[in-house]
Amino acid sequence: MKRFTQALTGFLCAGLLLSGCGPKPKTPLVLFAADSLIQPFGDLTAAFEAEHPDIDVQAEYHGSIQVMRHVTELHVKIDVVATADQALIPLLMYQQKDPETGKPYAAWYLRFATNRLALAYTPKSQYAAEINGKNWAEVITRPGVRLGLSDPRFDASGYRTLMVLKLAEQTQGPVDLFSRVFAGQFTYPIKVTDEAGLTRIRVPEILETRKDTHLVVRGAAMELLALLESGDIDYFFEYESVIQQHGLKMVSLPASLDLGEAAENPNYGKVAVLLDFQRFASVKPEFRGEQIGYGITIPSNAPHSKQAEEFVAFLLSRAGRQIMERDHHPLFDPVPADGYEALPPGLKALAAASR
Amino acid sequence: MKKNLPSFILFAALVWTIAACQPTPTTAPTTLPQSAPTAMVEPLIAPTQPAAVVLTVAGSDGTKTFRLEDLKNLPAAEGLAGYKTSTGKIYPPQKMKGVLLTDLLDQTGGLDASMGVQVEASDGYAMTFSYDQVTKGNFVTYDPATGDEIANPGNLRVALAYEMEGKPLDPQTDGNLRLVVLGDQPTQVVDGHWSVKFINKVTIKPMAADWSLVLQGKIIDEVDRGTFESCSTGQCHPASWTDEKAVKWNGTPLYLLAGRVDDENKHGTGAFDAALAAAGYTIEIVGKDGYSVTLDSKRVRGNKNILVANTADGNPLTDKDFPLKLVGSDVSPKESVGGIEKIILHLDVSPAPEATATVCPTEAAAATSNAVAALSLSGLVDRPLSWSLPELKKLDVVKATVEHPKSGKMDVEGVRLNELLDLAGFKPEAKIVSMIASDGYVSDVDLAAVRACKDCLIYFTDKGGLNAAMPGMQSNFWARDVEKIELK
Repeated sequence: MKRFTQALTGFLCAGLLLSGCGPKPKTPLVLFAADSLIQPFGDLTAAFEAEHPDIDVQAEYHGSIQVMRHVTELHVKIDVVATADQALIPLLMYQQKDPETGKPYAAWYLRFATNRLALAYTPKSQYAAEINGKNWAEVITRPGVRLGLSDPRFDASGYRTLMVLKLAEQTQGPVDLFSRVFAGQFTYPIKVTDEAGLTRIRVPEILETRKDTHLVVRGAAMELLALLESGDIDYFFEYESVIQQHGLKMVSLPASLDLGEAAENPNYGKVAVLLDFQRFASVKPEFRGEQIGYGITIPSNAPHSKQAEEFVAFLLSRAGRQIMERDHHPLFDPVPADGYEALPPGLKALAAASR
Repeated sequence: MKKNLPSFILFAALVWTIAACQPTPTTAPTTLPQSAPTAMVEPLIAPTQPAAVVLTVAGSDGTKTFRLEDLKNLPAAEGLAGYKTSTGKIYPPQKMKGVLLTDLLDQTGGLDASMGVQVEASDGYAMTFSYDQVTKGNFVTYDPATGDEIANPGNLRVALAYEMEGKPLDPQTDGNLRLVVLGDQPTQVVDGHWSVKFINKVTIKPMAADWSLVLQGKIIDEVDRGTFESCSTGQCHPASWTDEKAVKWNGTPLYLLAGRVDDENKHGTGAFDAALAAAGYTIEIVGKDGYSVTLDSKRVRGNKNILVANTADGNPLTDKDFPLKLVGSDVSPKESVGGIEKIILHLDVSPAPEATATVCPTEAAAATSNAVAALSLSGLVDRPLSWSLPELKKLDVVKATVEHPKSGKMDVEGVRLNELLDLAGFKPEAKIVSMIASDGYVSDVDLAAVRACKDCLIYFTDKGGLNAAMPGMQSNFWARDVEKIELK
């Protein structure tokens, strides 16, 4: 019996020791973000997890509308939402209530960064040696030049590309730039109407290119990146941050065209894109030109709101800012907050109330 | 019991130890598994309601509802389907079984090239597929291993799947029905946005009513159906012609369409550059079948008897001619191109002499461009113009009853003064329309008054001359034998 007691005691001690050998459970932090944030948020997440080993960031990247839809229509429990169009947050998350709690999905957001559209190309692109800020519109409409277009029905950079081309036509010409790019290229045409100072670009329900088109339309800008790098297209409009992250060449556009300057909002607002394609019941498919704004919020039903707050605070911290800058996507300073009073207390000191 | 106590303690300790030493997983995530962009939380029907309607199809012959069993009784299609998300994540092909969309639509009247197909999920998410996608599998495809685009994916078919890997779809993640693009081999995936889940409705949508006409000259313009119709139905520049079978064609004069792209002035005063047309270029009218005819700009200039028609007897044109056809009393049958989709102005091409000589009904019009001018228009205009009598008669000749202040009512036939002014265009500083007669008589009228006078005409006299009819104005403004108009 004595031997048994000794063995049992030893075994129990070993058990006690071993019970502490496994890693502590990590808290999952579910992040849904716009796909143009893949690289900076990937780096941000890695640094955040290094600082918070008890948190496991589970990130999914989609088009911004799709990000929102996961919250408000699919009712996925998400801890942090970041979109490439901050207007979608009040439009969808403020307006709609979580059926479980009866509360709106959000009451605040931080407008943390902007971006600028530019014309991406590579040294292999046709006329790469001669394209510049003055002749780009003429170069991309030359015979044989293949222009990529992210489908405006699915991708914000797609409908923003339509805006850029129309604004360019109106401000610097040529006067038929939009038609040079799009006329006769689709089975069903993109239509343009002018009324009371607003040019409305109407995208048909089916956007299908004809044979022998010079346009290459893909569902997402990511796919165009691959086609550009492989030489299957010559040019396409992409966010400057993404172009720089991929080491591509670009023609920068003037502030009046690149959708990156707040002071140009009255000018950007002269164009709007209307989608005949009602993709979601809850999204009004009309987008007015304005400065690009990225928004981030913590849904009211976030399961891990404390950790989410830590993540957002990390984004706004010096370390977070440095990471974003390294990835060519600098943050606003200060970061304006819509619904400042509703901000979590820990974030108030890091943001400024929107004017 | 006492004897068993140590064994029990030992067993409990073992269980505790083993359990504690397992690798500690992350707390279960609170989100759904990563999904295609169409997931929905609620299944359409519970498994206990197998007889419920799962799909409504609104086709060209009406609406029909289907239970799952009904769908399974239709010819089954099997194949391999997967998809790629916008961020590049690939869901490799899996074995799927369902019903082809074409077979399903055959139940409600079928599908033709003028239609699209909207596939809708129960949460309102919808995708619209083109005829070519549904019938020819016209999709961008990717290699499931590398994610790179592939050019020849083989035979692709669009189906509503109800089984995956031999089992019914998971109602929590896919619903009852899911759209799949089936391939014969596991060598392709398509974009994830086509992979609609939780499908409960399919709707046929008319599409071909929408069309556009591409105009190419100094600039490029695309005229859509709405713009063309508003122009051809009275608000802008309607023109009509009744053929020998008494069919009335309505549309817009060709020269006005040319005027949209002959320079950067697309619309409004002086949009058609008559001087440029007089100098000569060619206009190529191209049909969707590739057939084209080329006309001389001199022949087309100001000619309302060459029109691009979009209706016949008030109806849209038929298949062969849809959407536009070149018709008119100055268009020969050989020139009457149907299915027009493009008009090209070859501004740097001078018409070959034989080009104007080969086209019968319009030969006279071309020839008269060099005839003696009966009327000229000059001064503060964008482009000085002159017309022979036959050329004037090719313009929009109207009949009107006008009242002379002394002679009373008279029926006249001529060209509106404002049309002539529009053709020439006038400079902002122009104030006076000065009409000069063959005997030197000059009638000066305020330009504003002329612009406001709808029925002010230059009308044809029985003696082959031109008089001015200026209804509402004193008789001294009614100049006779007008030879020249000058804007001052």
